[in-house]
Amino acid sequence: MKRSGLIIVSGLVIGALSILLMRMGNPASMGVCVACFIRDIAGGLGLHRAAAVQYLRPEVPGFILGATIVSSITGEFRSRGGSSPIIRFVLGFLMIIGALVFLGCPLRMVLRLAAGDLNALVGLFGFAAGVLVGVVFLRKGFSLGRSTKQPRLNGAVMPGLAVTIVVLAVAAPAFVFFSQSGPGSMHAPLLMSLGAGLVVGIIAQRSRLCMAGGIRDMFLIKSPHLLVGSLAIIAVALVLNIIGGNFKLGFEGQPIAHTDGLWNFLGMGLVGLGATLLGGCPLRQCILSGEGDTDAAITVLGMLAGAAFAHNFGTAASAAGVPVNGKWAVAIGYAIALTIGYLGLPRAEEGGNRRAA
Amino acid sequence: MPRNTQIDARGLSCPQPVMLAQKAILAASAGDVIEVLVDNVVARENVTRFAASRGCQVKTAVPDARTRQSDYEDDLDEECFIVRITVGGAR
Repeated sequence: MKRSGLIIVSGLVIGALSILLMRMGNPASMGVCVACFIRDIAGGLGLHRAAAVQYLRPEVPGFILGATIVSSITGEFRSRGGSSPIIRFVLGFLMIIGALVFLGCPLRMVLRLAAGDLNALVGLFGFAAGVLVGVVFLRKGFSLGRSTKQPRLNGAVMPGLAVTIVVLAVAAPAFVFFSQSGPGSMHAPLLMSLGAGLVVGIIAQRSRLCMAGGIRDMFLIKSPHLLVGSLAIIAVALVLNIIGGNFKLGFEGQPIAHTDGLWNFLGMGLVGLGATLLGGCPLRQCILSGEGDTDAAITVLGMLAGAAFAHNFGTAASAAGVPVNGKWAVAIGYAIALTIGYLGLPRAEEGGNRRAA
Repeated sequence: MPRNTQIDARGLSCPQPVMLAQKAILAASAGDVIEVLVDNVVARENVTRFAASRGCQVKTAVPDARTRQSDYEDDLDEECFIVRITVGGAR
């Protein structure tokens, strides 16, 4: 089928662009990590003051605007929202807390894996476990409720914000923070980052690529359709890493990673659970937010807030390991996410909240 | 006698439209018709792909004035699709 081809091409292009961006200056095995880059954007805006991770990454606004452009052409752009926006904000927030304890979103997880980082394999098991817990809630009827059509202006807000980030990145006014050292100082040329982000946004919008959806659909409906996209990313990144001499198998000494297996597992588990309750991984949320989905836009803002919190309150991990605050944050995150999952189940007296308009 | 079931999956996020279709297909007999009402292209594609993978015949239509009056009470002024699934023998 046409779509199956598209999802493979989508994975191949995203994997290849990730490796290219790292060649051109992006931090090692980070590629187009959505969590890392939203964290850097939070830093660039001064929402946190971790000096090493501040840069207005043009890739993320690129994802959003790529989706806006292509969905406007295909007629899929629709302003919609109202499906538990504040809960989505919280789940977006929690996904980033988990991702920054593991040090990467699902996308970076597979890129790390393709570079031989076995900590990412532990993260992948955690991610799959988190998705599975989310699937249990979905099977029991979990729902965040229906979204409805909204006035067109609502859908334009996120693309507008994305344009603003790009303008600030280009104009570089004094109030924007740019890391002088550390991962935030490492980046591909701005126009290349933006261009790659746009390409990823366009193809991910067309193919509906979703890292959480791949595993979820295998559990839920035994469909490998989306999973093939994730596998394509790993395949192309693996081949390019081996050719480029960047493949190094092992746990120790991996770039921007730690070896605390338990918290790699639990951190990604929280991302998997959050993404499954939300209906899409961090990348997918960015894409949907560009298509007029204001619930996804709120989720992205939740991720931005979570990233700022993670560095202000010292919950983010580093190569040195996971701080105590990070462990507490993940533990509390599970308590919140599981409560949301439980409370989102249909109530008998309501006849199931799926029916609620 | 084939039955006709209607599912309103408008406004639901991934993967709920597919799950509702899955539930209905499993409960149906060969020849039954299930109509899934969705309001976005992604849900239309997902439901279509899922039903086809379960050996069903799938057709997509845009609701017309007749269905607007009879089958769905709400207004259908926004973009909607009816995915009409004819359940096959092997699932």
